[in-house]
Amino acid sequence: MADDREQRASETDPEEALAEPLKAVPARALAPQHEGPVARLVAEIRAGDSPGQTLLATFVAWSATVAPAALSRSAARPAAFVAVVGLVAGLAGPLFRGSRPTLARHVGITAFLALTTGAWLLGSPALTPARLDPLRASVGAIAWGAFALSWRERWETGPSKHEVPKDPDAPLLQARSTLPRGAIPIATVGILSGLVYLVLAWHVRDGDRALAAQAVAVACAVAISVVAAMVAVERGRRSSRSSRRMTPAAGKALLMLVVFVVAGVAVVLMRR
Amino acid sequence: MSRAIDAFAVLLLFAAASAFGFGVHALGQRDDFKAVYLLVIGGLSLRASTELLRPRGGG
Repeated sequence: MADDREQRASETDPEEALAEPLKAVPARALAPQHEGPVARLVAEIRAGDSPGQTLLATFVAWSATVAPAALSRSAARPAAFVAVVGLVAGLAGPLFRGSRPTLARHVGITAFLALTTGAWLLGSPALTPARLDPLRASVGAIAWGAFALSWRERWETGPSKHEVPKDPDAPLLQARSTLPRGAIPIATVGILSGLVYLVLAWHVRDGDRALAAQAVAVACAVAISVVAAMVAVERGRRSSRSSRRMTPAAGKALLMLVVFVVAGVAVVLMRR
Repeated sequence: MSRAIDAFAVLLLFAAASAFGFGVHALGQRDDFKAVYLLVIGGLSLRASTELLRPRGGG
């Protein structure tokens, strides 16, 4: 029965029947295997499986984080050699991605990261916290994130499912509740505050305090983002059990806060 | 009353955000006592803000 249906479909619409299997075929398989690497590369770019973004992310990450350490004057000479070999591996790997994906990952990820780590270890004198540039560090962190994303496995899109026809008599789905007023600005302030902490932590130059500042900044950013989201959503909601909002736990927390504030003011006044 | 508590909770949230910011800044200025004090104040403000809006065991 199913064979009859397929046979009928192929007779009625031969172009569609030919196009369906092609949608499920990976893009790299469409590249002609008998042609040269340039033709394969062009075919991959046309199929949307371009290694260009991987090449760009690799080069930017290497330029921002590896080159300044390995090519500086204070770095050992082998560091520059290892860094350049690492760059070659990082740029060569994506080129084989379509034809030999396993080899491409070994060269473009494993070898590149191993050689990059080696270059950093050999050029460690240039990596002291006093020489770190916050802007370059931020660009490098983003570039390494882009590098990781560019090596992701592309999802192959299967044949599209038949759309269910809309029911004109179906009622519109309404949201059960709306956000209280000012929810978005409060959440935005919380998220921006978290980002400010992370930027401030990069300005701590003292080596001992820099690590502590990074940890404290991350913890504060997480805490303020979570509580800001909670405050933004929970305002205006009344307890289901009672309308009383000032619980003993809240009073205790407020009392402790007041005690600490007063103690701090007292210490400042006593120091003068 | 409910609106006043909501506004106070938002105020505590902003106070905590400011305290955390000045605390991290003080850490960079090698003023450890001030940094620890401000971070503790920020933490207590956040806790008080949370307790006001979503008290534990209050449903």
